[in-house]
Amino acid sequence: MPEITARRVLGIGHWALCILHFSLPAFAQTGPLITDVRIEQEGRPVDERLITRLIETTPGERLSMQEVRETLLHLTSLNRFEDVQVLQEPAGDGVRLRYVLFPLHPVDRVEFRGALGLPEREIRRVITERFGAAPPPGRADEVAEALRALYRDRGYPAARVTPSVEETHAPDRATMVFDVTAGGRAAIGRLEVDEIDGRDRRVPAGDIGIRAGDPYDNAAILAALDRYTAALRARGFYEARAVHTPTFEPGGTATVRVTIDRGPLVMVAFAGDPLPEADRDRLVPVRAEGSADEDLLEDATFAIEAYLQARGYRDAAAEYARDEREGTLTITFMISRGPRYVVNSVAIAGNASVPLPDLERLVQIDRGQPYIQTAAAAAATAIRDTYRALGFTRTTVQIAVTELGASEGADRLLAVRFNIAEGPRTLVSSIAFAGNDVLPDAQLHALVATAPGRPYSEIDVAAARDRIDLEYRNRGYESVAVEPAVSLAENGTRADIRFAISEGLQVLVDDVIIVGNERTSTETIERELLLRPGQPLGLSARIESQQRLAALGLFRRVAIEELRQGGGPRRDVLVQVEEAPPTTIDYGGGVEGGTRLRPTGESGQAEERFELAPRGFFQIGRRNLGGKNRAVNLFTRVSLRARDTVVSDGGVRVDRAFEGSYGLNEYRVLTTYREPRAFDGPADMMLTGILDQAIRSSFNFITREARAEAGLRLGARYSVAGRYSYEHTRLFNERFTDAEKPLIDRVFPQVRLSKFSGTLIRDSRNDVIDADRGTFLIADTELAARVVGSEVGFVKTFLQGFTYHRLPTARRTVLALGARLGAAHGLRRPVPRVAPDGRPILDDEERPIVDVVQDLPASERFFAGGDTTVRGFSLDRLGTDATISPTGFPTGGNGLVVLNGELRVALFGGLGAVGFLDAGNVFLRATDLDFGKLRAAAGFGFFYRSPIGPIRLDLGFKLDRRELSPGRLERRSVLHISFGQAF
Amino acid sequence: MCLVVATVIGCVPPLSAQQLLDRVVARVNGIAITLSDVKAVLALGLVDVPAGAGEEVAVERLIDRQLVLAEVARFAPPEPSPAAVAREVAAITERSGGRLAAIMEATGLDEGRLRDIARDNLRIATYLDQRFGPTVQLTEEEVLQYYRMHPEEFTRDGRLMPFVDADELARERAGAERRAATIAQWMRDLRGRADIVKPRTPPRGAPRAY
Repeated sequence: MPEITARRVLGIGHWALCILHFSLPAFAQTGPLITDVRIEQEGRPVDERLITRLIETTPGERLSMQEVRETLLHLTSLNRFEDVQVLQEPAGDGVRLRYVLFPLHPVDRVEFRGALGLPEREIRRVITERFGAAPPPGRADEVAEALRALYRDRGYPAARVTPSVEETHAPDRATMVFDVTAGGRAAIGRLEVDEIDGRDRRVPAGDIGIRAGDPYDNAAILAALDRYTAALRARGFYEARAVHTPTFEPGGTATVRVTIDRGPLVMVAFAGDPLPEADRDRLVPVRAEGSADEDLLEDATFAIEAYLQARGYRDAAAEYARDEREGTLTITFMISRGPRYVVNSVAIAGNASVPLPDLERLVQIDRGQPYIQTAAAAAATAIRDTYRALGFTRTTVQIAVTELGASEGADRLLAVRFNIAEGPRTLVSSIAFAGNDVLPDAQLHALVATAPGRPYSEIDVAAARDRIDLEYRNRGYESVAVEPAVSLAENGTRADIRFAISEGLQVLVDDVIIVGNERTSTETIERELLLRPGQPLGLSARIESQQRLAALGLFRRVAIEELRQGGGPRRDVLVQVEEAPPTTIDYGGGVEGGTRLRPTGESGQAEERFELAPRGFFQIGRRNLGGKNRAVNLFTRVSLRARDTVVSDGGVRVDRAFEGSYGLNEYRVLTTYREPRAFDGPADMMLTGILDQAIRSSFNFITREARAEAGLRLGARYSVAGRYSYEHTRLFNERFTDAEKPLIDRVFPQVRLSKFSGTLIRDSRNDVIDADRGTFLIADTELAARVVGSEVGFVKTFLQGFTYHRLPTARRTVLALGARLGAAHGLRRPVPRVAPDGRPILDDEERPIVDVVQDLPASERFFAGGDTTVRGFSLDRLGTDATISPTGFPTGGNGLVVLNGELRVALFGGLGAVGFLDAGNVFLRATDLDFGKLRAAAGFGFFYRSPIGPIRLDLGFKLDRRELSPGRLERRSVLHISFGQAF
Repeated sequence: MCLVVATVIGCVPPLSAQQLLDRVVARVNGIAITLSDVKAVLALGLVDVPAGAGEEVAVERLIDRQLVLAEVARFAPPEPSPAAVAREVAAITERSGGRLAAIMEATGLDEGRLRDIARDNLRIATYLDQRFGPTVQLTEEEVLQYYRMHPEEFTRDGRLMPFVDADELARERAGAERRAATIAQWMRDLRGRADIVKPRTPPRGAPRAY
């Protein structure tokens, strides 16, 4: 029947059913009672929760074929079973249901047995290339057919290949086996070569590299013919072709017939105006393509014209002519490029509603440059698009090009003028919706950015269509279609917009099936999923669910897919995860280079010295504790630095006590415990213990700290955190004398701090390590007070803001700007003065002398200078006279300002260059902050974008060198070698 | 149809024996086709099965249908109106000869799925019309060729109709043949790209022993 296939597909035929015989179990209005349900796999009962929760038939209820079918579909959607058979058998007063699961046996091995004849690796390669390393069992016959073709191509025309699949159990796998009997290999018995070249010449067989007597090998013959035709093309026979056909004879030989059509000798010539020699082969790719057909030649003329027009020859024309005689085809390109036109002036006229500067920015045509028609057309389009975005739907832009009488040499000068006819401005008159049952008009209006009275814009309408479409898809209407139609009225000044909506069916989640989680609890995964049974299968919910699961950091791979059962509106959602190893170990090493202060000058004066500090780290972490995404982590870091100098002994300076030997005197041990969604709340909790010994410019310190922190993300960009910390800090190896020390450091060489702090972050950067777009704002406030166990009290606020902009240049160029402002205020505390033996020191009236401390301890004061702040200064070296000791060592302050500007330009490969301008200072009191006293530095540097982040080398120069002591100026430049961007 | 339904309801195996209720008969790109699907479409006359052919042919038709539905989902045609779906459901109901409820219960078909099937029928028809056109444009030579190759279709009362008289019928038949051939080739291409698995498990009631 002519239309039988179509009707098969449509499935509307119904004439042949009456003779079919099959059986179905009888279900009256109620099925038999289910007394038992069993699940079996390979003869063993199955009690896996993932499986049992998918069984919809329940003992004690009537059997429903609908529930049977639903169960079967759920089970098969797991992609673990080749077949699921549902059987019923009498049991008690009803029936027992048995779900018999036949697991899939994916092929994990391919074996070849028998007399292969060919190397096994070659056979395996052919299979891998076409079917993958482990072909599905169902494609065994197809693979065997491919192998037979391979054997035939290699000269084994009688090879027999028999496939089979051998299953193994626990685990369920299969081996695909091919029994091969290669048979004898055919040799080339006879070789017949014909060449069609117009001269009726037969090519000697030896010329083509194929010899009678060689084993037949299709690939070798093709290679030989390719070499032969390549040689012909090299001689100018660009259309040379060679084909062969084998015939396997009963005697075990093969007759190979080769037909060579070398075509004419093709010569390409150019006439008329010159075309640069270097560009000819590219514009006329006869040699590269090995062809001289009409399409290629026509394309070549267009390419030549475009090439010349892009160089100002706007009247350029090219055509070709073929001349074939005596076996030679001569193709001659006639080129007439005409005069070169140069832009003398560019004008824009007729614009009333858009300012001229706005339009001039769109016209990338410069005076003195060649006139290029495509550039002018692009500018006209850009102008028209600008008007359309403003509601001028009928704006036309005409390019008027006037040839001027004057000329510069052989060039002709042109005046280019864009004549704009704005036409009427179209305002939106009405917005209507049709076909929407699910979403009311008011809700749809909220999705449309434009409104009656606003300029009509095609872009706005398209954006509104997309938003409506997405809104429906987020509600599970996957086949929604939104068609906007616009009617212009009143001479184009009014636009009535109508969105015709075809909602389609809503797709709901039937069941959510989670597979692959062995250590991670299902609840942890479900908590991140925004898809729930019975709810719409929304597009954004699906994407966000996947992102949230990936963000847990527990999985190597996360895939969420919907399992369609026909075109039905209910679908199972399959969540497949592949867990990452629970234990992670990281280690590494490197070298930090920077200029630091050393008391090596006259009388212990600070001197800046460039030092290299080798450092290494080791980190071990265990995640997903208890399947709840809890994690513990231990981080250790140690630096090898020059030993510190004790310049003060009992308040007496020891001059030039610099030792210079190295030791592991800077280290950090940090252990953290992290619990997401602690106490079933929205916030993540983190407990941290820190042991830290560090070398600063003016002192060393050792800190022990315990910290509890709760953090909460507020949408995609905002996050907030609150923390409490209890720490003990001890200063040692201070580089200044007691007289130079702030009072608090003398009173509290060891200090206990108990403090609360809060942080608000807004982060829209596109890359945390090396951003080129977005902003990063962070506000941090700390409060330490005696009432909560602190020895000293203070409030401290630190505000930071950074912004990154990618500039519209060919090279990746990023403008990065940063500002940091710190302010702190110490709370007053009276402290009795005591002698070294601990007794109070009394005044003349025998009363204890009491000092009032209001400073912040050294570990809490602000310091600046170095590779991440102001790069013309060594670490911590920045300060006013009040925050730098007479010997040149910084004491820190309660006020800080740091401003940065940097231009980062990618050069080649991962290498880039930066130019920067930094300014800042450290002030004794927050009230001393004075932008007029900032110290500036400028410089340049290079960075390499390594796989682990940028490695940076910066050289900063002070813009205002000062005298440290009479006749001794500050060092002019400071070199920094560091990891990561400066900010 | 009545006979089929009678067979469905009448040939009930005794409850004393183990009985296969359902199973997977094929998987098309991961989507399962079940034995109950096969029985439902046969009982409702939703696929075209030649006389004498059994469930295996019906399975092939369902595989084709699933492949087409996947294409329909990729390039969705306009959604059929609720009224059109209701008409298609009514047509299916009518073909069931008044035994729709019994067939539905016996095959696990619910009203929602029946509507889905009706909707899919309409979407497939619209898709095929969009993709292959309801009619095929033929040259006079091609029509004449068909007329010459199929004289039996144009013979009336033992006499071959003159081409002038048979032109319209020949054009219609030739167009239908061309369209069917095009669709058949498309189906072969779809099958070539699809992952179609038919379980190699034992027949009903005899699960594979391990």
